[in-house]
Amino acid sequence: MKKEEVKVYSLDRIKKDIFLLGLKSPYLAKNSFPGQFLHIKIDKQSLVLRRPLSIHKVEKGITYVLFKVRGEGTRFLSGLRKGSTLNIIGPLGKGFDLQFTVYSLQFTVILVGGGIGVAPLLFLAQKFRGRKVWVFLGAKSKEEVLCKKDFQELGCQVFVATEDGSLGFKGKLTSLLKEKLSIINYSPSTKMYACGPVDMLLEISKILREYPQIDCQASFEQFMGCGIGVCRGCVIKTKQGFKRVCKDGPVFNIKEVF
Amino acid sequence: MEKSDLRVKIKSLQLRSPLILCSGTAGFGLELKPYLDFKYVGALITKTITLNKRGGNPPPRIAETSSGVINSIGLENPGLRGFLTQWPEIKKLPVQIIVSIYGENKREYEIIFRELNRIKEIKAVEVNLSCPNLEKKIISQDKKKSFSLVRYLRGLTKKILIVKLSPEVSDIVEIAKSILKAGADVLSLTNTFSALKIDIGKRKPFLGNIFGGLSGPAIKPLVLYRVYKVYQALRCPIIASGGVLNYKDALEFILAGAIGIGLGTANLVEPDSAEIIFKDLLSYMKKNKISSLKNLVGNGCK
Repeated sequence: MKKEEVKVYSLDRIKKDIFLLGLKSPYLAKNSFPGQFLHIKIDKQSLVLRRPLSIHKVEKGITYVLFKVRGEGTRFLSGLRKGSTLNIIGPLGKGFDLQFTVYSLQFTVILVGGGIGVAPLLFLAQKFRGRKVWVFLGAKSKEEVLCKKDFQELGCQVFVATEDGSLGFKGKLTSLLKEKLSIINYSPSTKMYACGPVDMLLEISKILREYPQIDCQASFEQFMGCGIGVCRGCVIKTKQGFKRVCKDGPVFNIKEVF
Repeated sequence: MEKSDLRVKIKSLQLRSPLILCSGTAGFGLELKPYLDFKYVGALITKTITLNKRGGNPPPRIAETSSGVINSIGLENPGLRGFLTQWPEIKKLPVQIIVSIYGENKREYEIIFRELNRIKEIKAVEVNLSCPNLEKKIISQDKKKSFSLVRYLRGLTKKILIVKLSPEVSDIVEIAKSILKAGADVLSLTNTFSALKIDIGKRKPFLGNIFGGLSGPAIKPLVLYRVYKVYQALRCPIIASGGVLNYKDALEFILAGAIGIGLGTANLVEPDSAEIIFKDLLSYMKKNKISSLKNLVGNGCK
């Protein structure tokens, strides 16, 4: 990880309030790993802190982040122009653990992304190319479902749940997940990776009590200060006390937390 | 060409730079190593150590407001033992380490000092009498109590004694005067301001601990005012910390009377802020033909 000035390669509006930001940095493209994040400085006097955004994918030397406009910081980013410069520290944090995969090629990998939580999962799916991957995507309505096509292009099988039923399963993503898990041929090597609202992650941990063989790693969020493990501002409560999302995470085994 | 010198001396402490990393924003320095060249740092003040390990406050612990940051970490630290275990690694850092401490009572301070006094590399200790994120009342808001505590602490150590004050008092000069009289060598001005943020969506306080301490550019003029007042009245060594983000901010504090410039919130944004500010200060001095930073201290006071 290091701090550098990075040029904006592209900025595309994907949905009403969802943007895809491409960054030109050979260093980031080379060193980024799924589950890690970039700590981006917002060049605006009233906004002091950097904004942590997870790495969405790396393609042809360009590192992408996918973000939703939530507040002033992300609004600022959504107004960037191609060619402008951003001060970025990254890649930061402990990403998803992929160590096991060599031994378990034949088993299914399950990715669960709620809303904008899908962001780090596409990068993960890129690493799983050629594997049997099930992707669960959840959103309020059809218009808000993200990256479905991207996952399909990588050969993943995609299941969608929308709250209003306008696409796929009608209801909560976790309900769909529960239904599909009952028919999957899981094994002790079945791995799940999740990212999304904390309520969704809690729900997943409850579902997995019935499937103790499935190991689940989840990416957590917290309001963040330094991003490099110094200030202890971004902790979440785990079974072993407070842990820093920026340095001990953002990826934790779901059993560490719930 | 005239050489410009950024070295400062705070009591017997010779520092190669006036820039000091504030307690709580630099940890024990270890995580900063990949980002920061310590040769630009005068001293690093550690995260506050307490006798016993503390878990800290419930999250969220950090919130942003206009030009400011509210934190409520709650003195999370591994305790004196934990610090001592890490000390062999910490002391390898090429930087002067000042240890920040907080005790619940005199006995705790006694034990902490007994251990720290044995470590010769530690030349100075900062006593945090002003953390706003504890249930207890802030000691440095009580003139009598802080006088008697600092007098007691003075008797416990020969190291340079720095006392960090709360800005939230009706007369900071009075408090500062009494703490110096009690035997403090240096004043650290100031800690954060008590603050609140409310989440309008959830209709409840944003921070897990409800209240926090405000830092950053938002408090700079407030702290500058206090540094100026104290320096005018007492002409004592001051480490100023209040929202310094760049060399201009640092200069304002130096002109107001500070000899050391604390970098706090700046470290959270730029882990190498000390390097950036040091280089800018140096160019400013060269440009203005100022040979030594010492000559500027308090120069802006009228």
